[in-house]
Amino acid sequence: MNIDLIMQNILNPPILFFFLGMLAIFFKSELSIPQPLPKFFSLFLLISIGLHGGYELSKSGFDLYVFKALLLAVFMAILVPIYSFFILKIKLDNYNAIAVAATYGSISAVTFITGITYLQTIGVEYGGYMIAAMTLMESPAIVIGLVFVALFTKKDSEEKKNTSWLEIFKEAFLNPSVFLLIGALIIGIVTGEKGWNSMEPLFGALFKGILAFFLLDMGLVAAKRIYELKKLGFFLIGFAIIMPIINASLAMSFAYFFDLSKGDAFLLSLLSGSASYIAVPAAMRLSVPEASPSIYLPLSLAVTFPFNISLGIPLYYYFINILWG
Amino acid sequence: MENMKKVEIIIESVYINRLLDLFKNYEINGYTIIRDIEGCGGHGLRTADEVTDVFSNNYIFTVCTDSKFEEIKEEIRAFTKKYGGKCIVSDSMMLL
Repeated sequence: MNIDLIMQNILNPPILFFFLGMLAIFFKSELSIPQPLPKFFSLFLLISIGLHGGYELSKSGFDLYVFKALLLAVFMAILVPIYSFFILKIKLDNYNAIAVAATYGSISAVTFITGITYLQTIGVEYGGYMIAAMTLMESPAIVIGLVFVALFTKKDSEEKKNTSWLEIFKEAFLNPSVFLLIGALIIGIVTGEKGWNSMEPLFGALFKGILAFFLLDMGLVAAKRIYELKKLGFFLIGFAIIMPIINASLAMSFAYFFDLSKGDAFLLSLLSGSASYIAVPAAMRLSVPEASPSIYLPLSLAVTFPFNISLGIPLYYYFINILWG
Repeated sequence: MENMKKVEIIIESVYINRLLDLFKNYEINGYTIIRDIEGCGGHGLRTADEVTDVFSNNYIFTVCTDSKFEEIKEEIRAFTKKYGGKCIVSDSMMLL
């Protein structure tokens, strides 16, 4: 792989701030970001990508190509947690296998944003509807996870009877990040260009700066969780690096077969290769309390996320560049 | 002055609504919550510094009559057994 591709990605201020956050923990600096701010940054990023995606979607409209891309995204979001679960069952009990599989079946919005920033840096076009694809990919893994709990775990029959499907769907589709993303996307579609132009000074111009703040915080949090990895063993750490590559490769093959554009194929691969660390861990903690968050969160946050934003992005783009020419 | 029980519960943030539902079922309508508290316990280090609430705890305390506490005691025991957390109970007096 061309070293320039890696350097182009890593020498990006927000990514460098992520590593700065990690270094702060390793060098035992007192650096910290006061608690409500990371939540604010996350809300800002979700509104910004939702609004921008809605605006782009209002420009491009829905046609067969867009429908194909969205369908492929949903298909990947259903497929990945299913086969991941059966692989994870080799080493984990059913509860933990379900929670980790759901985490890897869903997506990371910040990885996606970093991927978009990379495409903009190298001047590759992508469709705004990919933001709708990302939104659609957030929830299916949660539903699959909860279906697997009903099928593969030995909860007593009284407890199973008490499981409300309404509550399950509420957790999957109304969790705060999905709700805000869908809401902002709809506002973006409804208000179109005029709406985006009026919001652009805040949600467009400041985007990269807030992303740098958010990634600085993610670096601090990820580095703290790295110490928990010692307990997890080679199988799970290997899973957290190899699985994203397998998922991204599979998405790449489908994207090639269904003739998606280069930029869209890259974003679909990156989404399929990413793992959730906001929506799914919170939903799994609520619905599968038997699974340990100290397994699924450090894997997605301290292994897969840094891998994807540093090496995964140029790696996936390298193969897409070869395939698409 | 009336003899009361002070009930202090430390619970993972994601479960707070379920605990409040439990309180509501037993008509305990007065309580105080301190959100995003940090510490270390049976579930390891709780740093309360993430966008997700998975690694943060909430502290909730309420004061109820001895008889009300006897009613809800087993439910709270089952709750903390299932979801983790700690419940500390102490005798106290309410200034009326």
